[in-house]
Amino acid sequence: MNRRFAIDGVFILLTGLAVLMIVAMVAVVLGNIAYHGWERLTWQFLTDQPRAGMTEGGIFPAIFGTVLLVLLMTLVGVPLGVCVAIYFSEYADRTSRFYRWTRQAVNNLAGVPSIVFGLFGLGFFVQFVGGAIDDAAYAGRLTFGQPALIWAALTMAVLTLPVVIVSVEEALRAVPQSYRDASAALGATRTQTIFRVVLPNALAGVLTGTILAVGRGAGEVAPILFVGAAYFLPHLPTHLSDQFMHLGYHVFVLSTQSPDVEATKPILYATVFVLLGLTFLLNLVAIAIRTRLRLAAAGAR
Amino acid sequence: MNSSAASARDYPLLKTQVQARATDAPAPKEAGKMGVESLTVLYGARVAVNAVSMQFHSNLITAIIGPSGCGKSTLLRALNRMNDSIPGIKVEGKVLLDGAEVYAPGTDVIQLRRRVGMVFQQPNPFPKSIYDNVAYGLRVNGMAGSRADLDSNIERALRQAALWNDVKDRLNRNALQLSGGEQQRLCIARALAVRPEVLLMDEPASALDPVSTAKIEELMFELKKDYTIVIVTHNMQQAARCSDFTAFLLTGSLIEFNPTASLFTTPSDERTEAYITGRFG
Repeated sequence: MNRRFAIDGVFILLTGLAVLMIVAMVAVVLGNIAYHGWERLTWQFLTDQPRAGMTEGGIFPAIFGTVLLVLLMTLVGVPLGVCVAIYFSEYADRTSRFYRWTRQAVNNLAGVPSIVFGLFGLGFFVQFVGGAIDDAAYAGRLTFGQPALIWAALTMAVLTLPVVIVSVEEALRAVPQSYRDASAALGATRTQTIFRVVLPNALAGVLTGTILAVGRGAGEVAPILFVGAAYFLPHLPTHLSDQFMHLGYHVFVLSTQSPDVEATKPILYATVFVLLGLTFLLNLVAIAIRTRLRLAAAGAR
Repeated sequence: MNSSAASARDYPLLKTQVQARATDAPAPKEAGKMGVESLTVLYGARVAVNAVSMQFHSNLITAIIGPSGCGKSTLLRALNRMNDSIPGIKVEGKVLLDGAEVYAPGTDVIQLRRRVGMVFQQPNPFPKSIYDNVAYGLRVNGMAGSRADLDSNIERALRQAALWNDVKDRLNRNALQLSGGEQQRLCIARALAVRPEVLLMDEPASALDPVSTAKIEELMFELKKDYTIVIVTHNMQQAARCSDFTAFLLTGSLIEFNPTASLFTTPSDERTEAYITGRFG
């Protein structure tokens, strides 16, 4: 009897310690970054461009590039993901072979390592699509056939697609069947039902999908290494075929390519701090919108 | 007899109505506004509705009763093709609306559903305003017209559903704030707004309290002046109180279809008698 109690106690202690360890790790990471990054975080740091071999100046081009990338990615990826989710949830015959294959394809897409997406983007978007555009519209002059903002955004859109699809589909399925029945019984077409009843009631889920995609897109570096992120640019990107700076890639550059490690260190800390802050902020805003929508729906009930 | 007597006690208002009916009813076999001929509905290999033939007459209420799973809802939903989207379903035989085959190739299902409205078991208003709920069918069917037309159509539908006086000052409120009974009357108004010819009601009062149920039943009695009404119910008292004809379904087959008064007082089939006297189901 005592022995059993002892095992019980030890096990509770072990699981509790595991939890504490995770909390401690998060606290150390966040605390360390906040502590070291805070002192360098000034308005000037946020609005200036890197100077003197990245040992001075700020990170504005990287912030700008990251935000632009995420916006473009969302613009392409979310509508596409919503379309796929609508097909799966509203139109597809769930017993058909086509449905099972496409569903499996989406699952597989979610499991592909992000560096592979980068290579895919380079091969497909940059060389194949971009090259074709250059041949057709720019008389072979290198314009779109090189790493560019648009290709990075498209690559990231493909990468985040499974996240969007799964969460939007979940939201669509959560819309009561009785709404669809009521709409159909009133003589609405399926498309009218989707746009007037199903989608408006799944808005919170569409936003959740967007949040998750944005959170992922802002932090991923590997896929954009070959398709558009630049080491350093003197000018902000003004065209879809321009390259861009990216916070995540900038962190990598600062931590491996600096000529003066000690001078770069505070900048590195502050950059990571901004990257974390930006991701948190984006999530926070989206979660706030979602909560308001849910509260409005609950208030109506 | 027992059930109609009991209902007249519970709802004195309806007593005269129950007695007034029965006499002016046409013969059940005569072609009605809507009808089914040897209708069989299969879910895969399972027969849900088995070779049912019956007619639904205008300005009359036809009730379909039977124990759970007897196929009465499937039969009802076959009338406006609401079963179409169920995978593996197969419909054989005929469904006729004004003599035209509902399942004929090339039938405009959208138009069919506008003409044959439906009210469901659970009140299912959209989480929109009361106004937008009633306007929905008009809008999706391109019948909205000018704002004044839309307003007057919505008022007409809400009046027909005996809801106008209760909600006229709060048309912009969310429909989900209404009580269950009000929600169901809103769903009836929503169905009436597109000026259907037939109204299908799938256990419209089974989720409601007795007072709301009585209101829905009185409403049905008003509505039959203008519509062909088919109601599915597992509440025999309700069928006895409201309907002119009653069909008794058992395991997908039509056992008996007769004027309500005679079905409940002198059932011609012993299975009907067993069911209405509560020996099974």
